[in-house]
Amino acid sequence: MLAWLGSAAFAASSAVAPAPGPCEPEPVIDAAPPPTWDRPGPRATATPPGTRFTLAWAVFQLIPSPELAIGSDGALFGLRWQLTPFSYSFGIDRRLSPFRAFVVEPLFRTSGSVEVFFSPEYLALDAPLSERFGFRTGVRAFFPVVERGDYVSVSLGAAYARFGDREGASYQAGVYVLFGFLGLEQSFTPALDEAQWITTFNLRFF
Amino acid sequence: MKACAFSLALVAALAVTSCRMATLIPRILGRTIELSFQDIRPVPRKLANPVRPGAGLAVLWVGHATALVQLGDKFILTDPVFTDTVGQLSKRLVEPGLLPENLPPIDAVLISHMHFDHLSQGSLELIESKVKNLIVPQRGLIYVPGYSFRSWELARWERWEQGGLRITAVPVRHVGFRYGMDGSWMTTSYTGYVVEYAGHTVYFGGDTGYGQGFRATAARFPKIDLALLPIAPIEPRDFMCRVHLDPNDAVRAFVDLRARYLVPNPFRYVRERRRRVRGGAAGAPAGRSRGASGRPARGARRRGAAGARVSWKGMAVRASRH
Repeated sequence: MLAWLGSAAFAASSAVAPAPGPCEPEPVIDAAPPPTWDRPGPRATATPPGTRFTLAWAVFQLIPSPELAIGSDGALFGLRWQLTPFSYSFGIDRRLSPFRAFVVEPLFRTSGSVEVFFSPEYLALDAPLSERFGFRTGVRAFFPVVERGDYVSVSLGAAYARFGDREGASYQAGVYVLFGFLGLEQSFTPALDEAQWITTFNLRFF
Repeated sequence: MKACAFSLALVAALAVTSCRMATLIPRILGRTIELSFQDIRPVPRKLANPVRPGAGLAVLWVGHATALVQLGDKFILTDPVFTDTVGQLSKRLVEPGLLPENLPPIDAVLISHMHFDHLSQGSLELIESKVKNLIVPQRGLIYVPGYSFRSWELARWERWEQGGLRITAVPVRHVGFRYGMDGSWMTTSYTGYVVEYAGHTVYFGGDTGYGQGFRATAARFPKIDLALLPIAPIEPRDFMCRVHLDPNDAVRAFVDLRARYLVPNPFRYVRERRRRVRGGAAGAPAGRSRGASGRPARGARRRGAAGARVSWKGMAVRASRH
């Protein structure tokens, strides 16, 4: 699944670029002597990866995470989207910028990071449609558990949540596998009587 | 009008890509699921001490793209994978031919690109205490979170040197992403390497399709003793040819490199489809390999048109020159 998503994402992002014909050698490589040739010695710097917005990234952010809320009215279905306006990684190589906005590589996040998140949310509340949509925004920290977080990572966070005129603090914890692509998040929002406990099956790709 | 043409082109490109994916993805998924129910086959003759005293050049194939190269008193480890899975889902077929605890101190670990079967965080954790330096292609350090060893990045043709050990990043034809989505910006994070020490030269191709890089490398390194070349996955060929060698391409690459010895790796996928190697540009060796299937392949040691000898053996290929 992930391989498919990854390949599809890459294919979508590279499909419009001109490519050599099938099985043809690519154009001549570096005919001129490179500037670093005959300049021995290790380099202490690191090239930034050049993370940027892409159409594929935007499409993947539209995929919601399904959730199940439990409160005074029983169980409710919901959907949650997520954006990361700001992220600081304390896990990556120190020579690279530890800051990201919106586009965040999985390992950047799961190897240890603190992020500000914004999550639009839909809950099937017994209320007018406009009140079924809300949001939560807060801070969350990720910690690596297995394979520097690539295999398993966990998170702890707190947020401000608002649905209609109901608002209050929310607390959450999560565990993630597959580079953070799949996760299970549990949040507790005391002010939201109908949906105090929300379990989210987290789907996130970048 | 332009926007319309662009949209049509985009839709057409996506449709073509989707058709290819439609055949490729079920195969990968099916294979992954099938393997998850299989036991990892043990290696019957696992080496306890891989060090060859007095050897000028020796190589031990550990599995997949992992090889331990000994150049005199220096040890190089390529794309180390010692874990049971890569990418959490893909289970390995066969145990690594060497336990991590039996590794000698490693002067440099070479990471050819960012894919899970070449850059394994769990494997780096296992060998962390034995590694002095880790070298990745340009932009690759973003996927090397803090370890206790020193890590360096090399752009194409850039050189790293320490204690007489010289490592140069050389061009190959592959892709640099780890997660797919990052393919848009991880455009330089794949490479091959040439390692030089004490008069010996070793080429490590990582993963690569056939391209101009081999001749360009041979032009700058005319005396390559040993070439570690990747083979497979092979099919669908019109899709894979730009990123992976098949046996024919590997022989062409070997001849282009003008190397003395070839150790092909990884064998794992070669098992999918055994092919006789056509004569090709080299008029070159015909060989069949079984790869890391738990039993040695039918060894073949033949002489190519370039006068080079090709040694295709099974589990642990060891070519040495004193």
